[in-house]
Amino acid sequence: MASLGVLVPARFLALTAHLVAVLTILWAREPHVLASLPLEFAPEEYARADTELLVALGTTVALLALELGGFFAGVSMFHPPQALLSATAHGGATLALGFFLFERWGCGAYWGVLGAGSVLPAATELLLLVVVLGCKRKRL
Amino acid sequence: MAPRSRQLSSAPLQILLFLNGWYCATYFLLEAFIFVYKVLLLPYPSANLALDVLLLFLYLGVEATRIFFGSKGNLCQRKVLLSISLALTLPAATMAAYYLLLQTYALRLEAILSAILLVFYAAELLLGILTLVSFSSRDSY
Repeated sequence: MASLGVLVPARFLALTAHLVAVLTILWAREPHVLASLPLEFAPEEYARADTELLVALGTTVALLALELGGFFAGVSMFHPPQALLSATAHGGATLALGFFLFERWGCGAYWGVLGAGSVLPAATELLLLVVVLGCKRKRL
Repeated sequence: MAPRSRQLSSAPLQILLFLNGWYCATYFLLEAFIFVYKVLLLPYPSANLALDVLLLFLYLGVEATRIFFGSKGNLCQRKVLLSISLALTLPAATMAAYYLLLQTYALRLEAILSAILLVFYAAELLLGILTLVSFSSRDSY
């Protein structure tokens, strides 16, 4: 698998870039919360929108932790299809989060990024984990 | 391939060093662009800028040496090379902490990137010490 020499670091860098982008948003959530609220809002609405964004970000971090765990445990590190899917999805998600940060998108846009960029590779990762660890097969 | 009892090289350490090399390459590229961004946007006294850029290049040298020595020491089961690499982890961690906390203008992005580097160093230090102990437990060449 000559392509693994490129796929493994590419996937790792895509995962890390996505993590860095999510942590950056987590650190300064205020412009995005304000973007999803109307011009006049009550403090409870702000708290609700803030919690919604926090939940979305927390889910992303958990799914990323799942993928990084599977990657470093060796379950999916040398699996080219998963590497390709994961690198593409997380690279695209990082790009989208770059727009999210600079253009100050609201919380609604974040759920789309989460779905396409985090849930899909995490689902395949979970499938691989179940197959390799549960059914004791070497590869899918 | 050597039978497992004679092969003491640590595969996790090797993987960490490999990924650390790629991460450091990205880190230095990104830092170079971030410095251009900071110089254009923020009032940077030239002495501080010279210090920060010089430290960045010094950091690059230390990192390249550390990763190369660690990789070769681990693969060839040489204690001296691996201990040089472990010793270089400390100045590297100091520089990562400098870019995280002490530099003139520390952006959020730089803080997160340097924190990830520190996590790498902690894992490599731990694994490196364990590998060194396993090398010392039997005669190596």
